[in-house]
Amino acid sequence: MWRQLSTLSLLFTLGAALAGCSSNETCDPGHPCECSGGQECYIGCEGDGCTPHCSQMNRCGAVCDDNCSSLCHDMDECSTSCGDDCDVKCHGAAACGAICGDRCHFDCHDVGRCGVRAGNQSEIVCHNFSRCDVECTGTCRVHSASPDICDPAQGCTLKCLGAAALTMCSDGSVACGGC
Amino acid sequence: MRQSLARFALSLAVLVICLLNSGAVHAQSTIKQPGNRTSYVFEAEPHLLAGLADPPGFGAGTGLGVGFRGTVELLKNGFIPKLNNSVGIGFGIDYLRYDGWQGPRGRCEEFATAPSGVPVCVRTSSGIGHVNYFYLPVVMQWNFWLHEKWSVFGEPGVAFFLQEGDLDFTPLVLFVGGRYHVTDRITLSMRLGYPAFSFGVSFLL
Repeated sequence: MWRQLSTLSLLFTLGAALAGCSSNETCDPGHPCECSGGQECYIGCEGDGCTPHCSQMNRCGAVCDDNCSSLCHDMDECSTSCGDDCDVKCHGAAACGAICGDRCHFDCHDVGRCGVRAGNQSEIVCHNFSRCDVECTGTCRVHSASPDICDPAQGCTLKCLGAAALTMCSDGSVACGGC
Repeated sequence: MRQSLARFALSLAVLVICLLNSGAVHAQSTIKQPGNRTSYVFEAEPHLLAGLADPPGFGAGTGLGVGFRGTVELLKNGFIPKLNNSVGIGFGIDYLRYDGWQGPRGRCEEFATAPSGVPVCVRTSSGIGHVNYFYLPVVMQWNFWLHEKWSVFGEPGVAFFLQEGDLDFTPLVLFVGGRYHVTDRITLSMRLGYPAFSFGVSFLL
């Protein structure tokens, strides 16, 4: 009896040793960094040049430093918080939000609510939305498509928080500062 | 996935080598006597589980849990007429709690509100902790009744699994297992394979 039990134990132990276990990945600049499936995921990435990617879940967000390129799609709620020179893309979601620094590029399409607070010299593109609300701390420009004009009556607003004045541009976009 | 299959192949090799070395196959062998075994219609097997490879879906690391497997005998004489083999269909429910997630999945520690009232995470934690899985495997169990005290089986099949509210499907689960027959109707049963190993007691009813 003990011999058989020890054989079973040996088998189980050897199997466990062979199978091993794997450790969690980390999110580092220059490496793919993705969350997909489940209820929620919030990605923190320290260092410049991160590339977080969220898809197919209820809530997802990325917190990263400068030169961050985040992508988010097929979600309920998505968010990005980053430093300067960020590229934030979000589509196919109920709500996309971002808080980003200078020279931020925020592209939001096929989304219920797009909301962004961006730094100086930023560019915001909203396409096929119910609401697109933008706040700029410096100069920025907001482009809209479907509707083609960024107009509060169409759900598109821009608030200039700094010294730059709100300007209506001839191509239907709006800007803080000059067009 | 390739790594998991390699581990599975190694585990299978270990099982075969240990069984051959045990000497159990040679003494009081029943493998060439079709039908020479305890007659039963249902095998009830509560067991403990250890998930040692990353599971399907977004869990990762090591999982521990409990479960139950019920197997109904379909063919008293299996696919090889000259051998003492049988075929059944098995249904199970297994719970495992894994200690990690695939990918850099964290929790939000602090939110700020962006325009449009969209919450934006501005500070994250490093990890989200454990993840719970429920597996519902359906397998074909092919038994080989080697000896009065030993039998082995292979179990290919499929499984549904529920992970943190997401119901998903894996098209291949694969196990090899062995039973040590304590009595005619009670065995110690062990199963090696993917997604989890098991160790339990079977009641041949």
